[in-house]
Amino acid sequence: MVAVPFTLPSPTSRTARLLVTLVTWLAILLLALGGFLVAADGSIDTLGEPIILLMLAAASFAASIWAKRRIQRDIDARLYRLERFTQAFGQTQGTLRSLDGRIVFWGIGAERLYGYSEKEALGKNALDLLQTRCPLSPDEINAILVRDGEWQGELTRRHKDGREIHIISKWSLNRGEAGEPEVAIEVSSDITSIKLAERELHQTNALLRAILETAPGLIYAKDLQGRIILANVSTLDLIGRPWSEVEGRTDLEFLDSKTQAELVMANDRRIMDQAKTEEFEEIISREGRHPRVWSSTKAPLRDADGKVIGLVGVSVEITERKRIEDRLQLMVNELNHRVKNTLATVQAIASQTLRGGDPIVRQNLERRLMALAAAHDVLTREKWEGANIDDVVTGALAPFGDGGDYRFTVSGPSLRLLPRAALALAMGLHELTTNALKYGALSTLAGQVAINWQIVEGASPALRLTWTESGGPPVIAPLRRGFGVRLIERSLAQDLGGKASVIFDQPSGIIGTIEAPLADVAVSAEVTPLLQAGAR
Amino acid sequence: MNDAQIFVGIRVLIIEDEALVSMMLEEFLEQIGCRMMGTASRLDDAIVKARSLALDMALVDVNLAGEASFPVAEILTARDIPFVFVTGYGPSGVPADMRHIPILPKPFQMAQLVEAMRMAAY
Repeated sequence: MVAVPFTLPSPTSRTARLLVTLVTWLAILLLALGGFLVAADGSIDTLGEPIILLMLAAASFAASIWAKRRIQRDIDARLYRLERFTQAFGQTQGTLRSLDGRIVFWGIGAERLYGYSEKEALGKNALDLLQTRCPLSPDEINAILVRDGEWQGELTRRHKDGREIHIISKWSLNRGEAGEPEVAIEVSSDITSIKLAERELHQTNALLRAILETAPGLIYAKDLQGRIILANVSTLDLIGRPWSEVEGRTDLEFLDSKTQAELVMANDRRIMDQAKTEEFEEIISREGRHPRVWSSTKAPLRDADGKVIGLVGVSVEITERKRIEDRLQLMVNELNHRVKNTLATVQAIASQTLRGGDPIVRQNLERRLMALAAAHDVLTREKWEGANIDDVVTGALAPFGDGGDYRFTVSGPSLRLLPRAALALAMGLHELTTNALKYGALSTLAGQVAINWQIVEGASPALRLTWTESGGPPVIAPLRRGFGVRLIERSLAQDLGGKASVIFDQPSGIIGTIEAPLADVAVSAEVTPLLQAGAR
Repeated sequence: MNDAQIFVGIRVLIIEDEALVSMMLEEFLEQIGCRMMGTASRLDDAIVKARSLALDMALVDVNLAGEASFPVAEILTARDIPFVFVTGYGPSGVPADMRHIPILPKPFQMAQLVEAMRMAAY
């Protein structure tokens, strides 16, 4: 049992005690009086009065003993209740301290909370022992306690093991019987976990806000009815109104075109209904100005139970990018147009110049120009970013395909060629085909050509393409190499940064090989993994 | 050029801004026996000629010194005169509603010109 530093007010027991004292004194008085009468009289006969007095005294004693017992029982019951109460109070992390700060009651709850035993805590200054940090000074709090009778606030203390604990504490002033401030009752609750969660929440919020305000795009959230429930600075800047005039309002009030706003909102509703994230472009027109194009990602916003309660959107303006893309497309179209027109003009010049001359010469030139144009077509389709080797080969062979495609066997892995390599290869294949038609395998009905390419792995991977004629007449190396062969062996090798050769003196057609470093002929995105694989 | 016999005597208008290409077209057309009704290298001139000349066929360059020649195409369509687009752009340079018009891609060979004209005529 803890020493209780003040008496419990007990008015009944005080009256009872007074009564018992009176009855006891009465009994003593009666006893004394009875004794005196016996002594003064001395006779047995006249013992009547003293006997009555003595009996009265005995009765008074009995009454006082009975009353004392009652009182004792009453006190015991009160003490029992008090002890029970104290224990219960002790469980609540309650402490008592005198107004000068000394701890006078330290319950099991306090021990659990702060780690100090009753022995360690009693008599110590609460502020020092628990390293209490408080929004107010002890004197200020005491003043409030005396004035209002209570004080409540959050404070930080330190556990015996050094850990910081946050508590919310309610202090009440207890006054003595005379009304003098006697002791402060303190009941505290540990809110450390709440405080930490609060701090974490605060940090998360700060982080989110920082992201929200620094992100270059629009970030916003809308409820199920399309009303804005969150908008970052960029969004407010775009709308041109402060948050107070944006919150709770819809696109109907912000967009210049009501029809467009309805479309945007209908699309938002669809995303919320389907509860799926989507990415798309939104074109928003503005009165008197160019429309702006946005790349928007919108995702359903869910509550803690996972129910869709709105949507979150991020929109990045791509108007300029779109404009540049359009202009680039225009430039590519224009470039293609120019190249084709120039080729047509060159063709016209040649046609005029060679008028009346050798028709074979004229046809050769025309076909070479057509081969160049076909290679350009492939590049144009690919926006000059590169061309698939299959398309280049097929394009180069197309003008000669009327004999039936079975004359060519084309095989090799998919590969994207750089523009220059694509043009060079197309021209090389054209010359090989022309040569084969004139002197090689394609000059006979049974002749065939196999075109195969592969990637030769190694420290620096290479593309190797072979042109193998079969079923044709035996070929003899010409005394003087014609333009076609020179174009292959010199120009093609140079343009591809590799080597090319044409082998004559074969029994049934020529064999041509072209080999070039992959890095010089292929678009790098597809080369990189191969190069890395080679380096390992 | 036996397969080009069908074009003997037909009246053709050439709309082409590159003089040399225009000359080559003329030469090709003369070879297959066409009658040259005129040439135009500018849009306004082309519109006048497309409206007024008696024609059986027209060759229309899509781009006339930076101006699209589609107004000419509309006039020819309205007059029910078959024509061929001559262009370096390819099909993507032609509006969707005119994609059925045969295209002669530049540069071209005689055989391609004849083929495009045959497609336009049928």
